[in-house]
Amino acid sequence: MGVLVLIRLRHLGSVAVAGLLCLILAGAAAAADSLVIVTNQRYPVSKLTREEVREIYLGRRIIEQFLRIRPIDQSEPAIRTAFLQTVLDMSREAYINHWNRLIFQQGGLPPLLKESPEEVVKELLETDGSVGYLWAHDAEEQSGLKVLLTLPVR
Amino acid sequence: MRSLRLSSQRETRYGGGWRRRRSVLLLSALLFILSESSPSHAFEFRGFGDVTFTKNDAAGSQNSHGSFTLGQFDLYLTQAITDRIDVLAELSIETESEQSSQTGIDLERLQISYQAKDWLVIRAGRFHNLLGYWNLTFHHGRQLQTTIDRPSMLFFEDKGGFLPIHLVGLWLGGYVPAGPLLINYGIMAGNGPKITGLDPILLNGGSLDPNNAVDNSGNKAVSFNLTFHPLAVHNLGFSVCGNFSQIEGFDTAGLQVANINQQILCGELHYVTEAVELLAEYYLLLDTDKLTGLGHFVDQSGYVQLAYTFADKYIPYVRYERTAVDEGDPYMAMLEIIDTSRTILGFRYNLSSASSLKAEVRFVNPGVQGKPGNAHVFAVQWAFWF
Repeated sequence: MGVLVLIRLRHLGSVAVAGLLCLILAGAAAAADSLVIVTNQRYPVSKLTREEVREIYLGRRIIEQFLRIRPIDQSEPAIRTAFLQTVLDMSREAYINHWNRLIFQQGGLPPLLKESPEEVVKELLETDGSVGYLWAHDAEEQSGLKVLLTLPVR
Repeated sequence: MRSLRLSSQRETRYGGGWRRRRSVLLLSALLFILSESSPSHAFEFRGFGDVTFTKNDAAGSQNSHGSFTLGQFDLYLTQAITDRIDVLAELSIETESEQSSQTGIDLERLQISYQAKDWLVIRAGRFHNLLGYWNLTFHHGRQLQTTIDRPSMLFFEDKGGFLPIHLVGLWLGGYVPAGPLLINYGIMAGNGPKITGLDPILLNGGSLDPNNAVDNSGNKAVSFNLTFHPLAVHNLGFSVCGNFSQIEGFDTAGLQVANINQQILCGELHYVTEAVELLAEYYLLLDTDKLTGLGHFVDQSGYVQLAYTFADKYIPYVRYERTAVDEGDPYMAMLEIIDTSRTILGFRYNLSSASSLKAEVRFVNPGVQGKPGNAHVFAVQWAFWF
């Protein structure tokens, strides 16, 4: 009886360890996800640098060849924070303050705010000049998008 | 502001009733436009306001008994009307003067812009002049600025200012990459200001008028600004700027009594992070009165401001301002500008990103009516945007 209990305990321990491993691996996979800067197939360039994306989202790069650039933001906190930290090295508050001052200073339009990746994709496909950011795995599932830059998340 | 103030003979004839009705109509139209404005953007703000309490301990000063003041109620709209054309409008509702309780609506800014390239944006309308950092950044929204008030040399024209804060005309500007720098340039040309309301005998008591509707002379004002942003230090910027204009002065009878050739040269440095705000600006004014031939005069003015943000909410700040007037300069005499220094110690508490409480003490020298010695001014402000 004592041996049986010991074997069952060992079995339970193995299951727990395996479960824990799965959780760690899943977490690592999520943490290793990348951000992609995406647009539609009609966008006139096929690559952007991180600095160029930064200039777009700070309102300093507004025209791409013949198109007005339309940056798109996401309200979902995880991806927005990741984007702001990775590309702009800014907090959400600092980013909003920057735009509030810029718009008040010289006019123009701030990035369009979308609530979900689906809305971002819809806007990207419909609007010429639109540029947005998505998790890499969300972008892979979409057709008609062009990836301009891939950024590992810090 | 002495802007596109909507005064008319009809207003005089029918008094405040017509003015109030017209204000309500204008406001209703603006709110309708705002409510119909474009798709959801990442930032939603439509206006600013503030209420300020000020007490000056100098006997005989305007606020010696302590006064509550309604600040400007500022409504703001920006809209893309085509792929390349943007419109910006800023309307301010404010008391007409410190001696009056009447409110008026001023069109502070109205500009239409064409985005040709990153390096070329063409704008027409009424703007804030390309002077330094503060004048181009904070405009009329006090919630955006850390302190309660603007630096004294940047006071608006109808609030005792001596710099041409506004300009009506054309503005070319844009961003140009230059190796390790990103350069933001701007060139403006438009109606130069004039001085009106001068006492015919003493030739003082006047104020600057930006000439919104008609230029009183053929000499256009020209200003420029070159701001350098090092790519390696994202939060740092520094500028050189200038303004060149011909300013005629008129007494209360409309007689021309001055013709000032003015050159303003300026520079600024700003370093603004989430924690630190360091601002410094310097202005050099070169005035020559061509009408009297009294000679050349050199005035200097500037400020340094330092603020530090703790825990996103608590912001102690300090600012030192100084204006040194060349004795006998008719331009400064007409506007009653004298040697002044102000030291400001203050504290700001952010109630949220949209509202803040500010309290400060100002040591102003000289005190009232040019008497030597410090006057102490205490001020508290509740500012917001929405």
